[in-house]
Amino acid sequence: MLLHVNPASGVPTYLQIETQVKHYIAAGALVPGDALPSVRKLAADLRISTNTVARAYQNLERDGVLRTVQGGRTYVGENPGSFLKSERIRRLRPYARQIAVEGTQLRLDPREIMELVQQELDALEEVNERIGDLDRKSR
Amino acid sequence: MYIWKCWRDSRSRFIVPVIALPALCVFFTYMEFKFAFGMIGAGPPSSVSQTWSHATSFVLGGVASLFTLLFGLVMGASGPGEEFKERTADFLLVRPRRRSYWVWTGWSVGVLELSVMAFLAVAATFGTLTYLTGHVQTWRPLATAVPLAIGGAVAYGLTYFMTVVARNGQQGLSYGFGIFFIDLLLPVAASYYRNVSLPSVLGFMLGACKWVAGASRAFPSGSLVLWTAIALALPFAAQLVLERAEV
Amino acid sequence: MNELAIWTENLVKVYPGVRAVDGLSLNVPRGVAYGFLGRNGAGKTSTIRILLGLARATEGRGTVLGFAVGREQVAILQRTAYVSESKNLYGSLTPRELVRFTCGFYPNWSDQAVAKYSRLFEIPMDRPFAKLSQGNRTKAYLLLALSQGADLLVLDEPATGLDPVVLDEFLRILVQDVIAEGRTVFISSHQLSDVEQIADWIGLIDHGRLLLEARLDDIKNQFRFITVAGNGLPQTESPEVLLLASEGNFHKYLVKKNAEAFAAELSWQGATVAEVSPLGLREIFLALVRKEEPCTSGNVGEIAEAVSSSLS
Repeated sequence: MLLHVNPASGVPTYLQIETQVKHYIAAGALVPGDALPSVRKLAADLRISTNTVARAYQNLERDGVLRTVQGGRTYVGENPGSFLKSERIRRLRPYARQIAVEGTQLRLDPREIMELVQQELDALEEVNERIGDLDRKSR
Repeated sequence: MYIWKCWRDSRSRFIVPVIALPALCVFFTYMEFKFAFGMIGAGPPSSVSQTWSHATSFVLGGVASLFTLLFGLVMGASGPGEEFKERTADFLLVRPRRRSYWVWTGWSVGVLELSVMAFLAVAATFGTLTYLTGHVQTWRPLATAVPLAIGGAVAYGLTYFMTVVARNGQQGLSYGFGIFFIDLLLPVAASYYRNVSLPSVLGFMLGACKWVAGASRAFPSGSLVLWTAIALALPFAAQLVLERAEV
Repeated sequence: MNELAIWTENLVKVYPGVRAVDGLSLNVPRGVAYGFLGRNGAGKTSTIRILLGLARATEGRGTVLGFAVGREQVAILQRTAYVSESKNLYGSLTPRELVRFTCGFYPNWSDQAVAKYSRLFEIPMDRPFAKLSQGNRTKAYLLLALSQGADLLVLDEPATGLDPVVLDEFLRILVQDVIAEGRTVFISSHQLSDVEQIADWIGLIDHGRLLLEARLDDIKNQFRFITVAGNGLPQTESPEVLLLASEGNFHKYLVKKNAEAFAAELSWQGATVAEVSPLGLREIFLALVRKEEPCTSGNVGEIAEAVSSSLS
């Protein structure tokens, strides 16, 4: 798994990692059962503190995205379909609020904001399909 | 570790004195023997013992003492004081040792070197006398290594202390020489003009050697205590200064 | 106090004519990378010299790894590796001899580390230190510090003379061999990009005082610039809000917490909020440290006064 972090960004590094991992999973590049690099290795490769990586992994594990086994290795967790729908909706709400607030700040109207979200969903689906195609071809 | 480094740093300043001092002693012993013998003439053993006694007083008490002091002064321009000039003090003083360790280790290496030097000088004199007069008249001259070493330690400690204060070996040496000359000349002047006897390190060394030679009855115990105390007080003073020093 | 790698309480250091350290209270946790930032002359090196026993504090006290500064200094030095700003070593000794000199002081010294890092950094081990380039000197100094097996690394401008490749390698070593082992790194620097890369915590010092001490993540999560235009906007601040600049109706705030709420409040007052943006370390540094310098026309005196009173 390859990541890129930008330490000079206003976005905290651990958040950048979380976002990218989730993106990979959403796009199907990482599937349940895939092993992630150890905290130490990822930190060393990115030249960032192990505490930062550990925090990202912990958060993802708390969210059910990742799963750590006894031996210490971290894997992509089972589909969050195992969570109740109400729980999943509850988790997404802060992000929805953020979009609403940011969008309003930027003086976009609700229709434009919704359109934006739809575009992103469509893009993800497209990537997912392409990876699925590649998978099928390689088997 | 640090001892090794002190030795390494002092090597160049040690090599000349450790050869020169015994060489000087051999030379002056020979001169002493030649001219005194010539004056006294080949004669009964009392003149041989006189030769031995005179050599102990003059060569060891005079020549060797003076040069030991001078060499000691020069060798003392080393140690933790120099670290400031080299700008390595912030490296050395962050090593996990008390500041007293740096002071006393450096000083001990120097004093050890001086002692070796003193002993070689004494041994060279002794050996030369034995060779020239044909036999060992007395083992006593070997004891002069003690006042020589003590005197040398005083001179060494003086410059060593001044180097710590001035944070620079060359300046420390200048101050050391200055004080040494005062200690050399002041007692002479005081004794001559005012009839007051002031302690002088050269005077002590000379007096002690004379006593060993049997040329004087009085054992200079007061001076021995005084100059030993000064020899130890100087590095202690250096320790106090270094402990309060800020890098 | 004992769980902290470094702790100070109202540390003061007065030199003739200047208070280099002026009431500094540091809290550096163990096992993190702590970036000690500040301008040249802000008091970083003076603070470090006190912690390492090279200078004595005028007032205040501190501990390093649980040991009292001053009183238990040797215990601190046994466990702390220091890379000084000047990085000067004995000119006549080669790196190999310097290793030989240094290793005896430390029971946890690692010869494998020496072999590994001397190879990685490509240090000419048998050339006298005086004949080494600045970059090689820094590398030799780093070699000694990294091989010591210390619980705390105190690095004062560690990147002097290092080219980007070596610097990158050094950062990797810091992560892999120091932080991952649960040891602490304390980096003092004004090279923000290096620090920002690796730091978990930030301590920002200016004129001998701590302006900010927080996790870098929290800073990035919570600090925001808010640029607004409007009438009758707040000119004085709460502890959480600083007015950075003002030009007529335009204002720029630095908000340390609850930025959205503040922005919303400004909106309800009829202001136009142009931007609520997150800050990188460089922007935070400049915003907090530049308060005493004129930033815009007009209101200069008031801004400085208001800002410094909100920080005190």
